[in-house]
Amino acid sequence: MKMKKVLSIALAVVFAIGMLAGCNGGGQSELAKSYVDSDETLALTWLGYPTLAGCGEGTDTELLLEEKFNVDIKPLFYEQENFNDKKTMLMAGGDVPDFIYELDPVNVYNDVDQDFIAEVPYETIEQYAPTLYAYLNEYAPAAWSYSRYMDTNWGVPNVNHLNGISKTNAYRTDWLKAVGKEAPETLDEMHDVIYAFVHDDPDGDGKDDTYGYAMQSTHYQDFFSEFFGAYGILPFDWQEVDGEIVYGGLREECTEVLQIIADWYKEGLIHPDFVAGVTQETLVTTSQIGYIQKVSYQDESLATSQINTLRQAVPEAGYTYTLAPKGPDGLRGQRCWGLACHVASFGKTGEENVKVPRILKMFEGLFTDDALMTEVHIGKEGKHWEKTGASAGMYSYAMKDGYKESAQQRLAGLEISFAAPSFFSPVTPRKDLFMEKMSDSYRTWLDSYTAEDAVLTDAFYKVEIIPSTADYLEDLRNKQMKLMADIIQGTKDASAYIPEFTKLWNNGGGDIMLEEAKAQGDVLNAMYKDLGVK
Amino acid sequence: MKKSAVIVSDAYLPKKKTLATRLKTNLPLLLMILPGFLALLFFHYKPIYGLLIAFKNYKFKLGVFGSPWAANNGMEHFIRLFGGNEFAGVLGNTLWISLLRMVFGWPSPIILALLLNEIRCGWFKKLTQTLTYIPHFFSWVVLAGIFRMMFSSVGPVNSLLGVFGFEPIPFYSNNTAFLVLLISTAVWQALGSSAVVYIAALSGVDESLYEAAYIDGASKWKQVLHITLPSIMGTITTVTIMNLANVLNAGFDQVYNMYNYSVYDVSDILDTYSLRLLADGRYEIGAALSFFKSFVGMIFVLGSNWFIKKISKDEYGIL
Repeated sequence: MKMKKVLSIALAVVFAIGMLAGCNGGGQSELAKSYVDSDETLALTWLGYPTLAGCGEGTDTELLLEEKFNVDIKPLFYEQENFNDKKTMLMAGGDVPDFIYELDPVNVYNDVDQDFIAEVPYETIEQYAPTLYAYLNEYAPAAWSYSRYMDTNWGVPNVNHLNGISKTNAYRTDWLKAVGKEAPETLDEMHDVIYAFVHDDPDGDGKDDTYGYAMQSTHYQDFFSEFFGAYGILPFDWQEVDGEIVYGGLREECTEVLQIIADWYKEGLIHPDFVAGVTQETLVTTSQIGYIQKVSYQDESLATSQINTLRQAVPEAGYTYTLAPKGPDGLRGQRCWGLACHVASFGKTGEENVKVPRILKMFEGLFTDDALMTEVHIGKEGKHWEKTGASAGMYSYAMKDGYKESAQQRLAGLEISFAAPSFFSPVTPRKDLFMEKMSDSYRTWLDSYTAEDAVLTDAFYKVEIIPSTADYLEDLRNKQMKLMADIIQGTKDASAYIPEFTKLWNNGGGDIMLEEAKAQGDVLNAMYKDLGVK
Repeated sequence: MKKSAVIVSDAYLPKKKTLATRLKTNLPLLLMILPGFLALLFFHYKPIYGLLIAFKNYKFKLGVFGSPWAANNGMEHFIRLFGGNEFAGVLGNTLWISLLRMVFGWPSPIILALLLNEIRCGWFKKLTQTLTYIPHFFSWVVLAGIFRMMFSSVGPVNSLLGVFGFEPIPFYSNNTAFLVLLISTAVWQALGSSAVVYIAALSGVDESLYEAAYIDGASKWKQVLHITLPSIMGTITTVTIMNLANVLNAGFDQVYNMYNYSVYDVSDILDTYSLRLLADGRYEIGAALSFFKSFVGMIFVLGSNWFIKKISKDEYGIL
């Protein structure tokens, strides 16, 4: 009897241990179990972020990573232009790299369809890069949607801190002074300033040679973005309004915004060639416009900065920075891409089961070791860079002679920004490390001229997340912009916008995209559930 | 009457050469044609099997032959292509732009060649020929930038119109004005290079024909009409037939660099549409589109060749 009791207890203990074991290793999927790290030196073909074109093999950065993580990296330095074409050609020829950088979710989808990249379960990422995994879940959980396709995860997304920060506008300080105006805060005040810039000869040369408003680029994200932002609209993106997903361009308020822009155009405040692709690029530096739609921090110590280029023509020129103008209800903002940036994926080479864990360990090492992350980005202190006064320039460090020019940095495998991923660090530095590397004056500028309420992002960061956008959106968007341009130029009435665009939308596959966009909410919820994010 | 039998002997005919002898005799010629023949074989015939991509769900790893066939008996991508929202409009734009390019682009180099042929001042002739040929060497990226600057609302062309009291023309936002700009710049860019082949043909016209016509009292116009044009008619028909093969190529480089969303309705062509499809990684639909373009081009070449041969009673034509 005693023997039987001892046996029962022993069995119970064994069972309990078995249960516990089941909770740990036994809970892992078969795929996750297949990923195992080894002690051997691994050769890694590395198709990184295409930012170091022209760089050669054997840089200090590469050697540092090789030594630290017991790997032999074969870097593939491609140019950003045609990167996807070249990447596809490489893999189509049978050379699938171990590490593959994906610039867009649609590239992930294509590479999955072509069986080029390997599935990586969240649990594997959590196992080998736990700090990074937790950080992404906390800081930018929606970024995981970039690496998700067919309810499966295909890589590790990264972030760009600057894309999550609102855009800043600027007015020429000397022009404001000349026309006796302050930097505006509202759209109405902005109208008065731009009107004076066009009609009151702000450059004082006695000629009618200044223009009002011009966009930063011909990209849809810049298309009169402050005007629509003043009404909380992203006219070419998905937005969540009252808990429902809608296409911004179908919101009723668009009519009012278009009427305002059309009135500005009629008054000569919009550059007449905005349709032809005339942007602010050269107009700013040739002192033809005094309002800059999007401006970054101007490092006055750099001869190539925009303000210094302008000062070659107008020595007294200066910028007064502002946030996007407020609309009648106090809304403001311009389109931002959002924190999600790109995806670090892994080639389906047949050796991914040992290589993926090692690359993930590299990610974790880079993410948690600030000294390593710093050295991978800007090299060794004393050799490549030195600390500067906290308020000098844009960064809290300065590159030394021989590494000051971007071409020199590129050849040395260095990348001076800590806001975004780099070729050798597909993992973006943490935000606190990024901020630490910036100068005091940059941080002050950021505090003063960016604001959370001015950040307008697509509900899914990128419209292309919705699969059917590949079939319909570009064509629809071009027609939508054409319709808007017709209204702005006065060939159509603003009241025609909603009826005409609704018709285009319905005939152009809009309803199919909307249905998918609404379902994307369920896709995201399923993803958050898999990630364990609430 | 009984017919007598005629015995014909071939003893007087030259002895028939064996294949080996003929090969040996023509070896230098064969060696000369070999590189061109190989290039044609490898770069023009071998890739034809790639058209199979249009009928398959193409997977790089499996290759063209190993990839599975597309649904609907391999016609899935064609069904999607022709059934797409954009296809009809895009095809219409392509045909319209192509037609305009042909209508204005076809006679221009002939006229230029005829005019150049009449110039007797050697240096002026060469200068004109060089100046008209130069635009051919500029890329459309550069040219589009120059035209954008020149034809913008505040550019020199509209400023000049303003001086003469005309309203500015919105070349980049008005459909008609944009098409005029597109076609005229296309004709201008290709004028000199297209005229070269006609100039070469004109140099072969027998001078004695002109002398005889002159003695007979034919005017310059009559000489052009009855000597020059008939003399180069073979070249004209050949070039015309070959150009018809490109009926669905409306000039991608030019359109892509010059168009914008405001004139998208009239300038979105098959090639820009194809680019959008390829950018999304849909190689099969891109291949289907190329197949369609080639097929239509072939129909036009064969059809026009048949037509020209028929009306010229087999005097002209390429096949």
